[in-house]
Amino acid sequence: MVSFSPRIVAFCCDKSGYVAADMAGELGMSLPEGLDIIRVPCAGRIDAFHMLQALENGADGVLIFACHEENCQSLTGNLMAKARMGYVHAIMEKIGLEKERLGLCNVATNNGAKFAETVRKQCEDLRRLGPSPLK
Amino acid sequence: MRSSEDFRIAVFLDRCEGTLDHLLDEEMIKYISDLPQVVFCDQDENLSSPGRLEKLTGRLTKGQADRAVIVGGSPRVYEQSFRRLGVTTDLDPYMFLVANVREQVAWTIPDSKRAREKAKAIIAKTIKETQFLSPIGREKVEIPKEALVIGGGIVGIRAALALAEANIRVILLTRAKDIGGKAIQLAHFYDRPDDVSSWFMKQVEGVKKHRNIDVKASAELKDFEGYLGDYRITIQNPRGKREVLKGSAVVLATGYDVEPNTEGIFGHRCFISPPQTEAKLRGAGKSLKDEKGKPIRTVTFLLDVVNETIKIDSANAVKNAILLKRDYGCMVYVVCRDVKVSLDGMEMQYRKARELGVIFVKCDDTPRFSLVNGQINVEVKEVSTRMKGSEYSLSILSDLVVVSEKFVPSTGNQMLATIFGIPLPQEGYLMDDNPQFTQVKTNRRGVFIAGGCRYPQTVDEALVEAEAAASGVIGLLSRGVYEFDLAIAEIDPARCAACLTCPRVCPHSAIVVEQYAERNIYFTGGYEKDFKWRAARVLPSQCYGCGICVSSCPTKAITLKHLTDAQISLQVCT
Repeated sequence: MVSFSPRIVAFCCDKSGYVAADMAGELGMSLPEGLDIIRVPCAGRIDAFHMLQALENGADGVLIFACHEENCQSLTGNLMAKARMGYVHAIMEKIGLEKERLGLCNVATNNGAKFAETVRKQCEDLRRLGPSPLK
Repeated sequence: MRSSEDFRIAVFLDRCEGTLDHLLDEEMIKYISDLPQVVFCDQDENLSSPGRLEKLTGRLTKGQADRAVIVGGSPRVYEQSFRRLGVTTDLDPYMFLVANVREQVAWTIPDSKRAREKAKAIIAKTIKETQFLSPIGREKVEIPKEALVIGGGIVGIRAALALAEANIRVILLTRAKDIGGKAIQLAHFYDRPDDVSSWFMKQVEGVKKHRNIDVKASAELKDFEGYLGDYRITIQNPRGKREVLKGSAVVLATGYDVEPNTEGIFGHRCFISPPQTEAKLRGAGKSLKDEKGKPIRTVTFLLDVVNETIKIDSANAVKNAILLKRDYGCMVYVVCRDVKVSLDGMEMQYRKARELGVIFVKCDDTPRFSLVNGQINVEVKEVSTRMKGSEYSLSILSDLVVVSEKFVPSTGNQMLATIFGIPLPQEGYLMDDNPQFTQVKTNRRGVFIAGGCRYPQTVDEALVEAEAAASGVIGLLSRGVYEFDLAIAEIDPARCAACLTCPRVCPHSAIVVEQYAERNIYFTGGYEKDFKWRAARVLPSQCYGCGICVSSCPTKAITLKHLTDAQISLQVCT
């Protein structure tokens, strides 16, 4: 398969994911250029609609970076994101999209390396899966 | 959406002390200046250093731009300084966006040509996004200097005194007939050698006499509503009369409950509880005698039988063991799984006890008890000296065995959690907003918890918590007004179907359902005259702007002012 640079939409919780993303930058970790970071106040802010909208509009993969479970500053925001991701997974299965395209990662503010690693791994997975059929 | 001519964007470039020099060169400035609606584009060496942002915005003529974009580092760097700036200039503190080209481009994409393309894409997207910005504004809430303290134990007393000394009027509510609580049972505190009762009675008297404190005893809590600055608590006295009390902030210090351990052999008169030990020590003269007048020679403290994670027992046992050994010459054993000495000064007490000759026996299993000639034989499998294959048991013939009472969450916690909207985890103790970051604070702004309703603690820890809660209240109340940005969720009452989803999901109990909407587009029935539909409403001072309700609302009636759905959609689509 021809290698391509996948477009990944990363929703980052302002309390953890976005700080981790900043830290990945500070550590000079290389991130794929197709990565679009969207800053949200809490992972619970992300609607299932937005996840689907991202996939519809040509994103090869979607990642959600939320706080660790039981450590959400809004108590249940990360769990809500997880539940919504499950809902979107079900829809993706129905319409024939691979579930791996949408993932959630629990990070803490100091997990810059984990952030970069997750994005890199997702990138590899997406290369294996190929471009999104919705493009 | 407004027409595109309506808004004018000022772009500030931050070169971040040369880090972004290769990206933000002449060509980039030209590219940005040529973008539509950009009226101003200038650069600076380091915008995050003090005064630089003010200097740069000073070059703008008044009214030249109505929204701003900063191209540079992480938005977290600029947010604070830009919001401060918004107070002094005519730029709205929320009418700005940051294109993060340092962390997301310059440092992460090594190839310079690709980096330039990516940076251009991010800047163009951010400038496009500014069309969705709207003025946010600030609001003030008057906060009268009144606070409510619920719970008349040592924590409530200390919190009330600390507040009253800061010139805040305090109403101290207690369910009991008088204030005092459980701490009065203690003969002395482990870290305070003097007699506690006189010190404590002084505190109680201080509360009763203080001109800023009102004590309401025998008050049953019935209802709670409101927001920071205007909390209202309904109480009921034993005669059934209800009363509404107002306060700007609330400290919950309702404490924990104890269950005496009297099952089986624990009901024998030789088994006593720590409060009984304290009473015995206080009442004893020169020699310690039991009820029949027989002198007490051997005392065994039994820890970790019921409360394994709570360190009150360890503190009390070590404290009393020292007394018994030093003043009465008793033989003292402390049988435990682990001695918990993680308290201020506790290591020293433990060392002192060891030096005096108190014997600490470490065991894994619960000891076995038998009655021998009116004494209790405690049989322990001692494990601290265990070697391979060898294990010996120890028989301690004791006159007195001190077994702890079981600490359980107060029976009122369930009710408190329901009427205050504070989460109640499985253990049954009230939860902090975030146990790691914000102890003592709860998820509701202006409601604090301290002491035993959080978790059973020793007196000195509880007192520290009481002071922490009190200083939290003082911090909120001292200015008289609470000023905040309206970066919150907002509900369109006409679209609200009053489905009660948002009050349920709101982690900060900031949404109430009120009877105030004129009409409702989801209601198809006929209207009577003066009919008002119920709709949800966000209490502005309580909202933290997390946006959970926005994505949960089935009718999309809620918008988050600082990050609308349109903004996310735009970022997602390009």
